[in-house]
Amino acid sequence: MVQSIDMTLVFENFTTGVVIHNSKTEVIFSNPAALKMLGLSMDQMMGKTAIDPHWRFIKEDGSSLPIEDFPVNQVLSSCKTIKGFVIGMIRSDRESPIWAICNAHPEFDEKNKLAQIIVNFTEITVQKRVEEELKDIAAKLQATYTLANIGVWNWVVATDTVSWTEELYKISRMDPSIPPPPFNQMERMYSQDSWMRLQAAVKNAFETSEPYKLELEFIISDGSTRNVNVHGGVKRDSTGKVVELYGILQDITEKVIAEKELKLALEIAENASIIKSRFLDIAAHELRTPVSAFLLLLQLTQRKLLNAIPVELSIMDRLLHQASRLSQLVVQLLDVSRLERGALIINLEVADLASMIEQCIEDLSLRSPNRNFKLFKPDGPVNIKIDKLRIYQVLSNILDNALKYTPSETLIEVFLELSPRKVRISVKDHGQGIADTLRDKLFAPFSRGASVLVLEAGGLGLGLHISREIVMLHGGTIGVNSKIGSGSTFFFELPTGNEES
Amino acid sequence: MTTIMIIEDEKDLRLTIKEILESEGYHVLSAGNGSEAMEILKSSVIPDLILLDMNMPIMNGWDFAKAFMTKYGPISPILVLTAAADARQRAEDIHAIDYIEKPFKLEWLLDKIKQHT
Repeated sequence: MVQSIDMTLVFENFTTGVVIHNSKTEVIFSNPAALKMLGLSMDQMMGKTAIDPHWRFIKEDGSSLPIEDFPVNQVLSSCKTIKGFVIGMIRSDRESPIWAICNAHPEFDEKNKLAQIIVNFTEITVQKRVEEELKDIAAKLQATYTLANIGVWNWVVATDTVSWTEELYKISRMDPSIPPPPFNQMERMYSQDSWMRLQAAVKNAFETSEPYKLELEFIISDGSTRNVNVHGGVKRDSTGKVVELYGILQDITEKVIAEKELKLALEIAENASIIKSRFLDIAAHELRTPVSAFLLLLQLTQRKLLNAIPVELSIMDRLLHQASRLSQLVVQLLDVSRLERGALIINLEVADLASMIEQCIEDLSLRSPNRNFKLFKPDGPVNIKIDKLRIYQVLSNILDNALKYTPSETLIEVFLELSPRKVRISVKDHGQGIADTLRDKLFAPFSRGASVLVLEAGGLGLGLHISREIVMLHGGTIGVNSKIGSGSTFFFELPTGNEES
Repeated sequence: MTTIMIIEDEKDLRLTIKEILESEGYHVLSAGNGSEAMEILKSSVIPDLILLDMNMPIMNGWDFAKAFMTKYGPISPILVLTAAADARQRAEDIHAIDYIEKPFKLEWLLDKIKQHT
């Protein structure tokens, strides 16, 4: 006991809180540091004065510490020393808990009976806050790395160890349980060009300490390539020796893809705008010629009438021809405008396709009496539900193209084939055929075949585009089979509306 | 008598211009493209003025102008008739004396012809 009393004098000036309990756990001594830390008076410690009911010990997770787990009680029940027990104190005069590391040990008398329990508290509130802030920063950093697809690696020269963060394993799709490859074995993880650039940059960093920043192609474990931003540098000790090589690797594949897509979209838009302005040129050009002829013919007629010269029928024929050309162009322009607005509407009614084809061939034969058509069709009418005018338009467009683009001595064959669910109309010509590269563009708006033919053929290059839209509105399909040198077969198929097989 | 050559692939337009010019007292040579015109020129007088369309099949206006210049030299002024948006450029390309944009009024055409013959 004498010893202990001497000790208490020593404890007075400690910054560590010291509390001594008797064997009944009653407080028999507390140094000023303990009172200050606990925020209690000596009387409160000794149970002589009531303690604020909010005052309590808490565990690290923030929950209340049960009485049996108080350090003094732990020692009492086990008679063993406890060390490094983290304990928090909630005090009504403080906004946040006071944290302390607590040691407690029993002291025994000569008879080996528990005499007293000495508990000491070292405050760690500040350390704990810093620790939590660090944890928070680390978590935020980790979240940032994950969000930004950034992997971090380093290579410690002395131990020749390479370490990777979890995110780097994720980017490279490698098994995190396998140690990362040493730097000089990473060749297979980059494209040839990227590896050469990286090596050069690292070599330069070794020589000049200059950090590097590259955009490289990174080959991941499944063999696919990712676009990555790679930043890195070296760390040296005080003697200038390189001790560490470090770097980050950011997966920017999505960004690169997005940029490519954006570029493509821009090109498409620019292309569309070029096509449209070219179309306007073509349209203006196509309209100018018939308008010129029309105007001159009218002025010629006027002059003849003024001078009492008879006006020949041929002038009327020419006027009619130019007027119908104009009207055709205007109709096509209107159709395209309707298509663009989605306002082309079809009116279905039952019609005989066979007689419609016959009629169309007859109409075209009148205009081109020197051309030969041959029609192959089943006997009798082929009645299906269609928009008569629109399908006639498709048919006459395809036949008209066959006339325009093939030599006059060649035959044009027309087939009408009927199957339970659909009818197929095909027009086979014996012209020069269409190149594969051109074939895909034929049904796009404002396109025409080979440029040589364009000038001779004239027109807006809209016929097949409009035809395709009309056929699609009927739920049908349109296409062409062609081979250079052996002619073309344009066809379209329409559903019969006959569901039973 | 003044000779005018009209080279234009659009038949109605060509025939109408020919008829009008003839009624105005001109001697008119007419061709559907550059190649036809070169053929006609082999056995005809050199025209005092050539009305030339640019976009034509077989031999277009540019090629005709070149062929004519090579064979006959700069003896006949060319008046370009065009439906293209860049008429002035086209006329300059072939060193034409003037151009007229389609569609045009009869009076404009006759004025230009008078001006250049």
